[in-house]
Amino acid sequence: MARLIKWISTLFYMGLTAGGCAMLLLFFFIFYGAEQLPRLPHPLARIIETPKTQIYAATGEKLITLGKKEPVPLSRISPHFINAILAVEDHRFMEHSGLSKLRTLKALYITLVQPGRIQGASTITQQLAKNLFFSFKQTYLRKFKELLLALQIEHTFSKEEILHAYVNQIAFGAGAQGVERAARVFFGKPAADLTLGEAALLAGLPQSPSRYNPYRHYDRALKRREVVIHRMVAMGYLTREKADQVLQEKPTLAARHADARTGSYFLDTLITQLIQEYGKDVVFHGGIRVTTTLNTAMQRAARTTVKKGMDELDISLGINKNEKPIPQVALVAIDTGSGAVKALMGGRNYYGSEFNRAISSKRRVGSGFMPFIYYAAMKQQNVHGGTVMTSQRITVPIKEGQILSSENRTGAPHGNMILKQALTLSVDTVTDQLMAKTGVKNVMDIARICGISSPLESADSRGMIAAQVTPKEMAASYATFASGGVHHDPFFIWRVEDAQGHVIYEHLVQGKKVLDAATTFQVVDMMQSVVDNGTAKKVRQEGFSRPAAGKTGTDPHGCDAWFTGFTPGLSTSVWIGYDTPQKINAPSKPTADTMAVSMWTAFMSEALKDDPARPFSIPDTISFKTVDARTGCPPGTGSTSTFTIPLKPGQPLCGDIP
Amino acid sequence: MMTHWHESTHIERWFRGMLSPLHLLMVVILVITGVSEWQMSWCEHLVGAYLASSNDKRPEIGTVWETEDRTTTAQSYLKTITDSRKEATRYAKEASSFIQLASGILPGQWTHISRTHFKQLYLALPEPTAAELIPPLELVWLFNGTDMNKIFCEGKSHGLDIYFLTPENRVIRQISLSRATVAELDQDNTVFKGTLEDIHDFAGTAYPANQFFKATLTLPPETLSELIIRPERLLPDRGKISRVGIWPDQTSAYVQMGFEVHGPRGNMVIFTKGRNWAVKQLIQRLTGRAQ
Repeated sequence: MARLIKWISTLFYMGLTAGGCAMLLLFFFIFYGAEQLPRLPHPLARIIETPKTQIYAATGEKLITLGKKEPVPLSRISPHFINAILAVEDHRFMEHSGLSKLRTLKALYITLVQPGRIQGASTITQQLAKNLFFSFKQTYLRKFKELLLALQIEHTFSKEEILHAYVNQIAFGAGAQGVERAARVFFGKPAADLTLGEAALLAGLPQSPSRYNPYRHYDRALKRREVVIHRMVAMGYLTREKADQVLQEKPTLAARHADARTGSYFLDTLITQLIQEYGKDVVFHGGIRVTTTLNTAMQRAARTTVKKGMDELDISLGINKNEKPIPQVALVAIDTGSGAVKALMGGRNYYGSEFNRAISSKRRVGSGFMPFIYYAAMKQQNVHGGTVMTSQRITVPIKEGQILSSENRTGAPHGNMILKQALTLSVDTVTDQLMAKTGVKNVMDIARICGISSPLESADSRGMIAAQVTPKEMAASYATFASGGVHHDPFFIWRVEDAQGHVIYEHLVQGKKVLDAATTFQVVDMMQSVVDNGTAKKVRQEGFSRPAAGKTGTDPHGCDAWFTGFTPGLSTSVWIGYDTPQKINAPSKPTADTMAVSMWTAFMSEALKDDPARPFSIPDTISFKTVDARTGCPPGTGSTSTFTIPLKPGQPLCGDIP
Repeated sequence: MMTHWHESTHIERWFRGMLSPLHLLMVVILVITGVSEWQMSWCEHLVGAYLASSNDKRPEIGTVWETEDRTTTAQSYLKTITDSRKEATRYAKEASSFIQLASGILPGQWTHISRTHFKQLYLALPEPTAAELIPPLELVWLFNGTDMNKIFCEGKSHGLDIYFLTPENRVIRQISLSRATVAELDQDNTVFKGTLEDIHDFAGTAYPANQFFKATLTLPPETLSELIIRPERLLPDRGKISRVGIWPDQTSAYVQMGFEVHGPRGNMVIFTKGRNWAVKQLIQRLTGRAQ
C-alpha cells in the first residue's frame, strides 16, 4: 500500500513538473517562433489581389485567365456554399479562436499512437494561414507556425474577414482559385447563383482538387458531395428530405471549360512560348493581355472532327474503350496568307494525354514529301505536268556507289504516264526517278525554304521520303504552295499588352517569296488533281466542292497516315498513328489513311462554311493545254484519259523528261 | 527524521495531506484555469495579441509575399519594356530627320510614326538620298494606292527597319536604313579623311581632276545640272581637288562620286551624287567611248 501511494505521488509530481516544463517550452517556442513567422498583410483581402493575365482568341473570345483571383464579398456568394464549406471543413468556425481543441487532441492522439501519420485538424483559419504562407510539405514545425499565425489572424480580423479571405483563395482544381472563379469554371455562373447541389459539389473539392476533379472523376466528385450533404444535415443546415432530393440531382458541368483551361494543346504551346519570351513571373503575375491567333469556331470544328473520326477508327480497328495503346491524332490549321495557327489539336484528348503531337511529334511523312520533289524537278529541269515518264520497277543511281531499287508501294499502275498523273496516283517509281535526276540536296533546299525545319536525311532518296516532320511543319510548308510561293512562319500570338493597355509586342505579317509563282501553280494544279481524282478523291466524294489541293502520305511500314491539304486560304495537316510506331491494322473501312482524308474534309467543311469559295490565283504567264495521260500530247482519237496541264511560256508538249 | 504527507504509509494521512487547503486551492486554480481556457480561449487570445503586436517587425516571407514579389518583378519588367517603347516613341515624335529617327530608336526598340511625319522626314531628305531610300513614285503608291495605315519603325543592330503596314499588320513594303545609309545622311559624314585609294569601292575608277572637269564641261547644260546633284558640298575652300572617283555600282538611279581634296587640313574625299544617266554620259567621254 505504501509503495502504491508513493508511486502515485511520484507520478503526480512528475506530471506536474512535466506540465510545467511543457508550458515553459511552449512559451519559449512562441516567443522564439514569433520572430520567424511571416508578417500578416493588412487588410487581409490584399492577398487576393493578383493581376490576371488574360488570353483571348483572335475572334475575341476570352480563352483563359491565368493567376486570376476574383474576390467577391460574402454577400455575393450563395449561402448554400457558405453552409456547405463550413459544414465540411470547420463546423465550429464561428466558435473557436483559430484552434479546435477537441479536433487537435484527437489529431494529436492519432499522430502519437500511429507513428508516421500526421492527422490533420486544421480549422479554416489554420488552412488560410497555411495557404497564404507555407508550402504543402507537412512538418510539425510548419503546423506549429501555422497554428500561431491562425491565432494572430483570429485576433486581428473578424470572422467575416477570415471567411471572405478563405473562400476567395482556396484552390478548387482545374486552375480555379476562389469560389467565384470555381463557380464560373465548373458551372459557368457566378458564385451567387450556385444551387445547393452545385455548392455542395464545389465545397467538396478543396480537400483534394485533383482527386475530386469533376471533369475527370465525376462519380468521385458526386461521392464527395454526398459526404458534404450528410455533414450539412448533421449540422442542421439541411433537412433529411431536402438532402435526399439534392442527392438525386446531377449538376451539369460547363462544357466550354474542357478545352479552355490551362492545358489545351493550343494554350500549352502558347503559354510555353510566352514563358520563353517574358518569363513565368510576367505570364502568371504580370497581368498581361494576349491576343492569340486561335479561331474558336475552327478550334471547335477541330475538336469535334478529331473525336468523331477517332471514334470511327476505333470501331474499325476493333479497339475497346480502355485498350492501350490507342492510335493518336494531330490536326493543325494555318492561315496561308499570314502563318497564323487557327486551330490545333495535339491528340485525341488533352486529359488523356498532354503530349502535343502537332508540335512535338516528328513522324514519317512518306509520299507527303512528293510536292517538294516535283517542285524541285520542275524548276530545275523545266519539266511540267505533261512531261512523260515511265513507271516501272527500276534501279535508280542515287549517287556514286549507291543504287536504289524502286517500286510502287501503293499499287499504282506501270507504264508511260505524265507527271500530273504520277503525282495524282502517288507513283513512287516516277518520283524516285525525278529525285535521282534532281538531286537530294536540291529537294532538301526546297523543303527547307518552304518551312520544313526538322533534320532531313540526305543519304538517299528513300531517306528523303522517310523524312520525319511535325504536322505543324507540314501545314506551314504546304501553305507556301497555297500562297503562290510566299512563305510565312507559323505563329500563335498577334499581340501582347500590359495591364494598362500598352502594346509590348505585335506580330507583323511578312511573307518571304521563296518559290517561283508559275512553277508553284503547276505543282498546286497537280495537287488539286490528287484531291479531284487521286489518292485523296474521298474529299470530293464526301461533298467538299471548294477548290482544294493536297497530298496523302503513308509511312512505308504503315505506321503513319497523313493528309495535308489546302484551299487558297487555309492549310491543314492531319496525322494518325501510334505514339510508338506500329502498324495501324484496319481490317475494314475506314483505314487510317482514308480517315485522315475524311477528318480533313470534315474539318475544312466546317471551318470554311462561312467563307466564300475562291479559286487559286493563276499567274499571268500560265497557259493551259489538254493532253493525253499516256503520251503527254494533245489528245487523239484513241485517248481514254486526259489532263489539263498548266504551262509556263516556252514549255513544250509531247516531250519526255530530258 | 521528518515524514512528509506524501510519504505517509497510511492512506488516511495521505488523503488528509492531499486535501489540505493549499492543495485544494491549487486544484481549484488549475481547474478554473483549464475550464476558462477551454471555454474562453484566453490563451489563444493572449498569443494572438502578442503576435499581432510584433507583426510589423516580422519579415515579408511566405507564399503570399513571394507572390507579391513576383508580381512586383513582373510589373517592373513590363515597365522597362513600356518605358523603353515610350522613350522610342518620344524620340520618334521629336525627330526632324531620319538621322534623328535612327539614332533615337535603339536596337530592340520599336514605335509607330504617322504618315504625315514620315512624309515630312522624307521630304526633308536631299532628292537623291530620298529616292534611294524609296522611290517617290512608290511612296505615292504606298500612300494612295494601298490600304497602308501604319508605319512601324524597329531599331536593329544594323540600323533601322521601317515597315509600311495594312490595318491587319501585313507588311506591304519594308525599307532598311543601314548604319552606312544613316552615316551618309549625316552631313558630317559626307567627308572622308583619306584618299580615294583608301576606299575600295572607287578602285580603278578614279580620274585626274583636270580630265574629269574637261569632260564635264563638254556635256550639254541639261546633263550638267544632273551630273552633280549637290555641288555646294564642293564649294567650301577645303583645298585643291586632285582626283575624282565614280562608284562603279550603277544599279541605283544615282551614282556616288568622291572628290579627293588635298588641303591644309590633310587629304579628304568629299562625297556627292549624280544621276545615273548623266554619269553614264560623262564616263563615255572620260573613256573615249562617246558616240
